[in-house]
Amino acid sequence: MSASTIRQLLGKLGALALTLFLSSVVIFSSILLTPGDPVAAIAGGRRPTPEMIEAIREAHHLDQPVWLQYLYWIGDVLRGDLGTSFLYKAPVVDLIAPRLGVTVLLVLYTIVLIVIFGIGSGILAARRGGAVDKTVLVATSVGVAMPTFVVAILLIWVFGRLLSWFPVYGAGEGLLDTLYHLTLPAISLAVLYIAYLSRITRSAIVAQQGAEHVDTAMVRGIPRGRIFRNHVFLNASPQILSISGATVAGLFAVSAIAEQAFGIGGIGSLLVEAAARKDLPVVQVLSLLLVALFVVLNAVIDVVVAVIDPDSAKSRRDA
Amino acid sequence: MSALVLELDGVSIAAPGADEPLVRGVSLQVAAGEVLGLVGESGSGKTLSVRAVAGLLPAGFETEGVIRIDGEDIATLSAARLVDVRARRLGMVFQTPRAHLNPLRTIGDFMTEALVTVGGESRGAAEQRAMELLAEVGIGDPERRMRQRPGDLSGGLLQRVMIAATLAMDPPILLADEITTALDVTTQEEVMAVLADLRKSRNLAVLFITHDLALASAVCDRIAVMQDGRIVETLKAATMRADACDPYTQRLLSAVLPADLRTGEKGSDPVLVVEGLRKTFRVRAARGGRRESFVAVDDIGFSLSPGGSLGIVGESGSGKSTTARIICGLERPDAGSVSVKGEDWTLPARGTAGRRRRARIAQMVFQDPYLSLDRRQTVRQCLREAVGVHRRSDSLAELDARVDELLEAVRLDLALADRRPRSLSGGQRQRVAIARALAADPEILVLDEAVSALDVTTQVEILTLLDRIRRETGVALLMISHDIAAVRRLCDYVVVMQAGRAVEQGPIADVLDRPKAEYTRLLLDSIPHEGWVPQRRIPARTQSLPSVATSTTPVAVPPGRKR
Repeated sequence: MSASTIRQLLGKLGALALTLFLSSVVIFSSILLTPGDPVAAIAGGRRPTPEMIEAIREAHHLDQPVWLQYLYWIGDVLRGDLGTSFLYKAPVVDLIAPRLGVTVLLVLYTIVLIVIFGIGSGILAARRGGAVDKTVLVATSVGVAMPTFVVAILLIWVFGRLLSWFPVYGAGEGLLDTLYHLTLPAISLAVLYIAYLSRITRSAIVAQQGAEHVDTAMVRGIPRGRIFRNHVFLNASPQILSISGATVAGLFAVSAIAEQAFGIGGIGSLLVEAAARKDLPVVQVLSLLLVALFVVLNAVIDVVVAVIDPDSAKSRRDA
Repeated sequence: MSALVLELDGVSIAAPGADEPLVRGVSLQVAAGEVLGLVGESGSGKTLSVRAVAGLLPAGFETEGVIRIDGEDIATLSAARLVDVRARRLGMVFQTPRAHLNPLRTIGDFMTEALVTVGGESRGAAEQRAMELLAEVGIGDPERRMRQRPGDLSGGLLQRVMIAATLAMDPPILLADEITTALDVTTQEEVMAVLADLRKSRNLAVLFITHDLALASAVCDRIAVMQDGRIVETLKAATMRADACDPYTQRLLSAVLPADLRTGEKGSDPVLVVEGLRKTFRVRAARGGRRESFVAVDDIGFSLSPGGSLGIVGESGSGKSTTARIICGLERPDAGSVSVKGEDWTLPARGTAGRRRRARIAQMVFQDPYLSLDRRQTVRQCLREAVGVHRRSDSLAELDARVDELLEAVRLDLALADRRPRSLSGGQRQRVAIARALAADPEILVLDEAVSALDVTTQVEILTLLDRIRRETGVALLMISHDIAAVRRLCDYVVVMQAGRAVEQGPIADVLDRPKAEYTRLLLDSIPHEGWVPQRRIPARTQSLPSVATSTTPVAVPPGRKR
């Protein structure tokens, strides 16, 4: 690894840390912007006596200046103390940990579907053209127009009710059973992204197929499969990767819709519930988690793109 | 006569659904060791003909007639066999090497790809062979080049890489499609010298497509002249001038630029004065991650009178474009000054109002009208927008009246006003670009390689037009070009730049007819003319210019500058 590559990576890490810091500040500030007194939320329905209010304010450092409150909070988070849920009166860690697994599995399952069917259909449309292209175009037009909850309802009705092929409620037990249970939720999440990624892939590949260096490879008699892999798909991949990276990272947040629709107790549904009932410690920690995932995933994709196309990284830095 | 290796017999090519074929009954023969020139204006069908040979016609194009590669009629071959025949017997080199090499893969990948996948050689043997081929076309340090990507090499080097790669399968035929059009004259000479050597050492048959008749007559044995899809006549290069009898050939032959268009109004105060201009860029060093300074422009000074015309010539990387960009406020100089009509323009204008005020005085016309026009706008929309910037209170009818005037000024048919750039020829597009620049009634027109992408007859038209505009409106022209011939026609004063410095400057006749600097002489010698023998000059230049020549052009391509 050359010195410039290392410097580039260090720059990336610095930007990453800065983004995370700024977003943690924004997330923390949300507590100040929410209407209603946090003390009331902590007291939870009971009418607190002045002594209780005082005790709560002291316990939660609410009597300190705002910036100190932030430092207490972020210090706790970094040490692994994610705070206590106002609602359940339980440590946030204990709420998140058991639900994280199923959401991660759901998101991974969705990503696999998106990559296989989104990129696959995009490649197919670009390479075959004609009727195949038209079919994919129509299908993806429908796909991008279907909100996730509508897809979920359709899936529940068709595969759950009419055909009874898949379970429509809960997450199941054991890995295989869980995957079986997560099939419809994953499809419902994936449809929109499959359609989107298929479009992106198709147009990126069509643009690269018309590149002049592909003519060069044709004259030289390079086998078509190799031309496609090394000169068309490779060159289209930075575009496909950076766009799909940004959208796929958002899946953790969107998974809430599928979790609600299919009655899965994941972190998505936890987030929705916590937000609705002003359980701020839970909302803050989950928001932080989502932001971190999003930022880290995109940084990883940036690095992969820079490996594929070093010049793009250089020119961006010089510019 | 030695064996024919490439024959076209009555070849016609038609676009899908078109009534008229684009190429009609073309017959050509190229023998081993022979260079056949195929000459004609853009749109005459020369590129289509050669693409039919190479199997690169767009989908749906129909070909009739017989094409024989090495004696085999390609229509009788199976699809798989045809791919193999083309891969082994044909080499093709294109106009723009940068576009025709995959930017993401290394030169080594490119060089070895055909050897491994078509020739079935091992990776190691292919690499060895690739380095030999790179050495054969005169590329020093092939081992390092193999690891670089196209972005690290200059256009001239890339074109040699292209040629080297086509030689991998030892093909008997080389198809060369405008291979030096995108290169400056000295680089063109290098590439042509390489080609001449290869033809001798390998007994190559070359089909050489160009719109440059002077170049063709200098490097070809025979020349076929093409017009509107037909070959109007085929002539021996040596006696072409005497033998030409077709009126089209005669027109092409006389399409050299009319001499002495220029008349400068002397005496008035200069509209533009440039003094001691200097610009350095911080660039990555050729090796390692260090940064070093690259001096793009070094102590450049000149002045331009109203209605005058000044040319800056030099190869790519000489700093001529950077000079133009500084004058137009697109770059800020490290030292020196630019003053326009007595006003200080050294630093870029601040704010929209400032930029608009300067735009009324100086306008730019760029090299590539394909890129500098918005393809979604019709000619009228484009010009209306340009006029509207400076006359914001005018009504639509007033704007349109001004647009008509502009179209008139650039001699563009009013019927073309509702077309989009895609359906205009290169010359028509450049007229639109000039009309757009004239919209503001500027006092200085900066022409950045504005005729370099056009074929010779169109070039003549555009240069004549520019000169007429200069006389009619009194606009001063500042022409940036690598093409000395074009500068000679249009300009009355010239600055010759090399590696950022002005090696020579003065009235055009003094400099170009009695050049004092070695470099000016080299540039003049590189222009194809009768009795021209292309020479390899790289070694000599490498010694005199170590930093530039060893690190190649990326050093000379600072951020934001076009290649």
